[in-house]
Amino acid sequence: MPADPAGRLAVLAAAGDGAAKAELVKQMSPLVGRLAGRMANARVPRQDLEQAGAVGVLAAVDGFDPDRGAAFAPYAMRYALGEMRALARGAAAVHVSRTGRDLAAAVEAAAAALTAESGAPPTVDEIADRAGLDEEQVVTGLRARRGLAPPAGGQDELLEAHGGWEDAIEQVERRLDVGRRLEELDPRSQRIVAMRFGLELSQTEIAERLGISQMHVSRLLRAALEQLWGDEG
Amino acid sequence: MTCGTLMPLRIGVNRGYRAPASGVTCSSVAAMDGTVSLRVLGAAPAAAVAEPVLLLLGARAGLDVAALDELVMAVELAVRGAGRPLLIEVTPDDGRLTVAVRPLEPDGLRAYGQALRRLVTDVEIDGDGAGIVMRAG
Repeated sequence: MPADPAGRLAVLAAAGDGAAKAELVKQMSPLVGRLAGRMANARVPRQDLEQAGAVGVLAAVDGFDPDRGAAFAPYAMRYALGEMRALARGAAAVHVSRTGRDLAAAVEAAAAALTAESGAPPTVDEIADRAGLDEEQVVTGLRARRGLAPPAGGQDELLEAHGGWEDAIEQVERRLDVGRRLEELDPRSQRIVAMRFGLELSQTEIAERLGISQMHVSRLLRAALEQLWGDEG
Repeated sequence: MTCGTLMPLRIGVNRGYRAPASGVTCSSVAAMDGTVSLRVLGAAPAAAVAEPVLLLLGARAGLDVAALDELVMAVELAVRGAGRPLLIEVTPDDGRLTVAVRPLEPDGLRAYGQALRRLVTDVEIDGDGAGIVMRAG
């Protein structure tokens, strides 16, 4: 049994002890509250962030390994922060207009069809021809698409099926000189970054491997880089 | 109208804009050779100002959507690692786009240089180390 009280609660919570879960969330709430206070703004209220943080704390329970000697609180805060960032990204996406969303959908459908036909990503002109749009509408659609939150789930099982991540993640940490920060990202983001920067696959190649569109890969990669470097600059 | 909505680009147009809400000032110049220069004060808005220009000029240079996407990501990273006020120069050429970001901060280059090299076709530090030049296509 771990020495720190939160760690002991986490072990009990992982074994299905509901009271331990509730107590753990209560004990972590001051830390979660401080993070939420720093991230709260007009679009994302503090209360919503605190709830997302609590979900992150509970998500951390399953992966916590007391034998590694680490305290539970700093480990859980990484999960809490991940959930809060996901919430904040989702809130930002609300500001893409309906027209923008429609154009993004039309552009993405045309791009996916053209990529399937030729095996290579299309140009803006090719998308415009296929979708019956002009250049400016395609660019507006591309901009709107970049502003949309990455789709949740769906590809996680596919990523799980591609093993050998540890080596690729180590490669990325060395190449990008990001220390151990990649390990702080959620598994989906780690793997997308590892495929692009560790295995050096193009977005199109990643899309082929995962059976999703290049534009879908783009959104996942962009969200992952935002997590990796979002607090800097 | 903000500097983030500079479309369509018109050759020879000079614009200046002061956004009262954010206090961000930016200006753009489109030169006769097709180079568009953006001068931006402030942090996060710089990438938002550059995005439509990069997408439109990249589209006209014939870049595919994946190359366009990664060029925008690269410029977003370069802007994070640059000083303020910053200058972004975008020059289209047949089939490629060259983007220079100045001034360069050594810490920024250390943090993002390796990622930039994997997102665009070519990265170089310009002559006196004052900026970073990226090419896509």
